[in-house]
Amino acid sequence: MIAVLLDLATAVLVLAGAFFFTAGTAGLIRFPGVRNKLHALTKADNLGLGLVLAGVALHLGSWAWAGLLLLTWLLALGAAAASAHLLGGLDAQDAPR
Amino acid sequence: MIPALDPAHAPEALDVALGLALCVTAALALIPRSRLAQSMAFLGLGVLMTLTWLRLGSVDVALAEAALGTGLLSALLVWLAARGRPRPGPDAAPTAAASEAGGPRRFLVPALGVLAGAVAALIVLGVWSRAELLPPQWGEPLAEQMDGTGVTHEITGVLLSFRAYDTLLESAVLMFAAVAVLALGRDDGFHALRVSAPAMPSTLRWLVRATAPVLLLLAFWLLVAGSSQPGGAFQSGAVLAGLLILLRVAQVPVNRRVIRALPALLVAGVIAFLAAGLLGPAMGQAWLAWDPAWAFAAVFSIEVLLTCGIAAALSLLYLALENPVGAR
Repeated sequence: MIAVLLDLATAVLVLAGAFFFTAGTAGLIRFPGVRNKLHALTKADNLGLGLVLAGVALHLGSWAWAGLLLLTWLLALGAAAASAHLLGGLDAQDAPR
Repeated sequence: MIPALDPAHAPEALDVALGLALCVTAALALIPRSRLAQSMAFLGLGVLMTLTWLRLGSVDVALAEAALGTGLLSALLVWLAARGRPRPGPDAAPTAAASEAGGPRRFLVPALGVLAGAVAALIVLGVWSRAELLPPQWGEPLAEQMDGTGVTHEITGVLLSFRAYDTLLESAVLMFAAVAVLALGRDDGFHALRVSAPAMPSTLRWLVRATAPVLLLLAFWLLVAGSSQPGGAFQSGAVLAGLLILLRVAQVPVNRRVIRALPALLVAGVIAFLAAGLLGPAMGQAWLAWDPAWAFAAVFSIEVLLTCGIAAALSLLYLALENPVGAR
């Protein structure tokens, strides 16, 4: 019973993550302007990555893996935030509004 | 985490999807006319190749692909796409003239293409029909010989013991490439350090400062793990070079002594390899043969110095990009 529930939770988390990734990609393609695209990419994709990694951690069922995946997510969050800040700043310099 | 593929089993849906994605990404890396699009596709191809190697059970190759593909290739390719201005192609005008010229030449090109394609398909089919799928036969002999290498990881044993000569020449090729780059550059190849670049925002500098210890730890772990697990000098060196490039891009000041030591570190790996190789003849054994008594010491010291050499060579290749003589 517990195993089925765990599998179900894993599936829900990974599917939700895939949904947010898809939404982020749609935003990257459809939104106008660099800063709007970055907004979609950093918010939706990082949430999607977190959900997928949470699902994977549940599936693996080990605290060590969960910690490693959490570290991966934090590093990805930091990289995404810093690069989005950099690109957004460059865009704002080019076209002040 | 991805289960390794058993060669005896039929490919699964995941493998088919991975193969198709590889083909599409490879096409995207070759067909577009924009350098930026090609670079992005090539970097994506690197990620897919990493997954493919993992799937095939070659963790060492996957690690090397990931370290070189993300740490180094991304820096080089993005720099070339964003900064290197392509010169007007010398073949642009003749191609236009050829397409405008009508007559028999218009049919010649497709006809030659079809002919070449048919010949290539015939050859591939001929090879394919005769090929037999045999799993590699070196597993057992390798396991018997591992005792004398001083390490427990087979790939490190093969790289640094059974085919040490190949590895020596590979590292020498990389060293000579970096030496050529240094020789062609101004200011001993360190001209980039004197050219001031537009200031980067402090966020990036902060992030790189915060993640640098993690990358350093990863590089050391890969180096030490190499004797018993997947990892080793090439992977570790690529991560270290990526770290140096990241620090350079984010304008984090690196101690000048570290930068000035790069040329010395560059040759240290190959020299240590040669010196260790000469220990054998000095003790009445073969060239590049490690006695089991000190095999681990020899292999590990070579790995450490090779890592320094590889990291120095790869980061020097990046530094030379910003050399105004070489960059157009």
